[in-house]
Amino acid sequence: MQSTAAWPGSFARSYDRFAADAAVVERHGFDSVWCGEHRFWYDGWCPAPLHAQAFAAARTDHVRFGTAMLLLPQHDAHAVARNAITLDRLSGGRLELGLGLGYRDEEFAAVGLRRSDRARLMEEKLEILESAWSGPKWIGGMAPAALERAARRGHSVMLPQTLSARRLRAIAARHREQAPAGSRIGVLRDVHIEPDPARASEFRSRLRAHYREEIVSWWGDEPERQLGYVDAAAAVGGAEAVAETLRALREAGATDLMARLSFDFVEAPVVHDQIARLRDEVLPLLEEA
Amino acid sequence: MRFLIEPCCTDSLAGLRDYANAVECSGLDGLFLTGTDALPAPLVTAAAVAAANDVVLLAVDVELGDRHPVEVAEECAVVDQASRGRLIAVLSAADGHAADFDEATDLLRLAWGARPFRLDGRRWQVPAGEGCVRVTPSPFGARVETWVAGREACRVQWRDPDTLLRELERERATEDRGWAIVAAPLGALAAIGKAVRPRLALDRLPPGLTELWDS
Repeated sequence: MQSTAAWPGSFARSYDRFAADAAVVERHGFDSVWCGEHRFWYDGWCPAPLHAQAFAAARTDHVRFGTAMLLLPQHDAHAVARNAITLDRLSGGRLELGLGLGYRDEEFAAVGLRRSDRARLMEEKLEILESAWSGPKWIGGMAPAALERAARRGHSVMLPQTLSARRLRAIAARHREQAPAGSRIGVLRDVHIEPDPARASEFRSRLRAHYREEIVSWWGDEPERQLGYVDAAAAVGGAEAVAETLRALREAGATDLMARLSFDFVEAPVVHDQIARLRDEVLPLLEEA
Repeated sequence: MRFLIEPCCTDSLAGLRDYANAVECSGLDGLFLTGTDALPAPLVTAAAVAAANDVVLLAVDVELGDRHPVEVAEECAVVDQASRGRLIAVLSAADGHAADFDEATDLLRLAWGARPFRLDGRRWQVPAGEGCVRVTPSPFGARVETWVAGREACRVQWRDPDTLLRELERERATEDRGWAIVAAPLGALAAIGKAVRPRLALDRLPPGLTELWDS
C-alpha cells in the first residue's frame, strides 16, 4: 500500500486493492497473506498494518493475516495487544503477528525513541504482548540475537528476502538446535513467474529500481552489495526456475514461504495472475519433488 | 438532528455488519464505536466495518492517554483513507491525562496536516532531535473530522421510541448539539428511523403531520 514517485496511486484504493488481493489469495487456497509496515515516508506505506488487515478481513472468510513485520519497538505494546486482540476476534482467529526491530532512525525519532534502544524495547514490549495475546508470533531477522530471542520465547522466525538458500541452511540448523519443537522457520522471498527471458529481465530491472530507492534512503551503505543480495535471492523466471529456488529454500530448512508478488510497479491484474500461476504452475512442481 | 448508533451486545463482525446495514436501511447516519472487553481497539473495528458497509459514518471513541499521539494519528489516517473519509475521531482524555489533552490534540491536527511539522511541546518533542516529520498517509479529505467527547453529540440510551423522543427533545431544548449518539439494540433501529428521526428532523413540523404518520 504505497503511492511512490515511480508508480503513484490513490491511498484509498490501495486498501481496497489489498482486500481484493487477499480474496484472490484465499480463493487460490493459500494459507495466509502478509503485509509490512513503514512510517513517515513520502509514499504513505501503511503505518498501521493491523487496520489494513481488519479491512481485508471483512472481505475474506478464512485466509490468515500476518505482519512482516510490525515494528513493535516503536509502538505502545498495550495498544498493539488491543489491536491484535480486536483483529483476531473480528476475523475469527486469523491473525499471526510477525514482529521486527525496525531499522530507520527517523521512525524511532518521530516517536521520541532511539534506534539504539530497539533490542531492549523489543524485549520489554514482547513481554507485555505475550501476556496479553497468545496468538502465533514470528520474530523477524537473521542475526544471532533475533534467533536467540525467538528460541528463548518460543516463537517462530521470519528470515529476510535477501537470504540465499546457502546462508539459510546454517541459520535454520542453529534455530532448530535452540528452539522448541513446533517453532517454524519462515522466509520471505520476492517471486515473479515469467518464462520469457526479456520480460523477466525487465522485471528484475524494476525490482532493482524499487529496492535502490529503499536501500539508498533507508538501509544506508553499500547499495550495490545489498542490491546484489536482493537480485541473487529473488525467484524470477519460468515456473521451473522459480520452483527450483523455492525447493532449495525448503531443503535448506525453511518450513514456511512468504512469497512477495506485489510491488508498487506490479499492476493489480498481474498480481492476481501471479497468485494463480504460483498455485497452478509452481506448487505442483514443488509437491512432486 | 443526526443519529449515530452505539451497538450493544455484539462482538462479532457479522453482528456489526448487521448494525451498519440496519443503520443505512433506517436512514440513520452512522455508528459510534468504543472499546469493549472483546473488541478493545475501536479503530480496528471501524476498519473492518468500513469494508463491510461503504455508506455509514464511523465515529470512534479515541482516548488520548499513554499512547504517542503520532501513533493514534497514523491509525486514524489509515481508517479515514480506507473508509473514504467516513471517520469521525471523537477525542477524550484518558484518566489522569487531562493536562496533556490540548497538546495531544494539537499534535493530532499537525499530524493530519499537509506539511511536515515539528512540535516542541511540554510532553512531546516531535521529532526527537532536529528536522521535521510528515505523518502518512494523509487523511482522505482535507482533514480528519474531529470531535471532542460531549461537545458535538449528546449520548442517550434507548428504551422505547416515545422515551427517546422526549429525551432528545429535552436535549435539543437545553443545548442543540445537532448529533445524538444512541445506544440501541439492533431491533430498535427501524423504530428510530421511522418514528423518532422524522419528528426531530425539522425545527417545526406542520400541524397534523405526525398524525398522518401514525395512522
